[in-house]
Amino acid sequence: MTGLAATEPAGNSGALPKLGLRFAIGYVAIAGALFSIYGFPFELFGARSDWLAGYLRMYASLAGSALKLFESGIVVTGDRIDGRFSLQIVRNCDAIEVNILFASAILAFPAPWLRRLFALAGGLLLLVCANIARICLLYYVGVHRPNWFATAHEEILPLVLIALTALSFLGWARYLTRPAHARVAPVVAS
Amino acid sequence: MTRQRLLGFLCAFAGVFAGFALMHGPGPYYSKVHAALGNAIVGQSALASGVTLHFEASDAELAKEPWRVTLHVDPPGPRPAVLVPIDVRTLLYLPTAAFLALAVAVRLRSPREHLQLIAIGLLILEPLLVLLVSLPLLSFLGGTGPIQAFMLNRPTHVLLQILYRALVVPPGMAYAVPLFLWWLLLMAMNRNGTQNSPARNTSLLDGPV
Repeated sequence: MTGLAATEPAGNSGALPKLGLRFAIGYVAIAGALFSIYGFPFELFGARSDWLAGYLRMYASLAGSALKLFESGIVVTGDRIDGRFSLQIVRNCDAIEVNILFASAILAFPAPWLRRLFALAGGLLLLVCANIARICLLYYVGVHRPNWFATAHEEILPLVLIALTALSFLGWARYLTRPAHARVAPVVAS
Repeated sequence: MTRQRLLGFLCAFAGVFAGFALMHGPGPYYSKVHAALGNAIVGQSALASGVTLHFEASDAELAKEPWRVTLHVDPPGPRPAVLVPIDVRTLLYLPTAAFLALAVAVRLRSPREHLQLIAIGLLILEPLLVLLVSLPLLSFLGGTGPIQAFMLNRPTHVLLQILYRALVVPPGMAYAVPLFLWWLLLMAMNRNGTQNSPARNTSLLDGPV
């Protein structure tokens, strides 16, 4: 392993730095900690309700607000969105896996902390927006092509989100390795 | 990595993956092979608790659900068996298809490197995916399900549940696992390549140099 240092300036060549063992260990540790918190089986210890319920209600409210931009008659009740098609926001509808994978990669990345935090905020915002768009798209798939819903929900859109996350990371990684005088925040790799 | 090269890679990936994803014909064969693999793993004899496990993918079931394998959990005595359906398309086939599509789409130095990447990747990916599928089954049979086939302590349950919720349940992880494996193998291949020629191949998606 070559360690954390970039082998050449990424901003000039378009190449990513070679990320070494420290990055890999940091990445696995952060992702492991975040996934452990998210996936911890609190019910085995007597917890009665899902501690994420409030967060999921907020997500439903966000997605419902986005859908209301396109049509009236959308009603959000708790974690349910009702309209011409009904959706329920449950665990993993929040696309937590891509958020954790992205956040861990940025936090473990060898770059100044201020830049990392900026990349983290920008990247997570992008992923939340993408996930809201995914939920809206699923709503319209449910309305117009209900028999395509399962395929879109379970096979196509998760792949799109993962691809977007990977591209977003590549883009932000280039921003993180760019010389200080040339800071421009990218959205995806170019 | 130029924008054009990245776009080419994404198009190639999407094309190959769509080809695999649209193929529904192999479903029954794929399910039967994995049912046989499951039976080879669990064996035919009963567990110490008297519970017997058997994976089934009969023609009648496959006619309705071509990608489904059912785990039959038979308790001793008159109690009815518990059936656990397993969707091998989502849990096994699509991640494998994603890995194959990534391995085909990436530009490497030679077809031999593609074959190497695919062979090593599949040798790692298939057992890894089978292991991931077994996590919830272990927890289910170890006490969280209606039939206790064996005893697991609480820390083991916690670990299995966390791994299951982190790596199996989120739909995106079906693609993240093969993506990571592909990335790691490419890095390993790049490292071997750069050891021979230090100036070569510094970018993950760069093509033959």
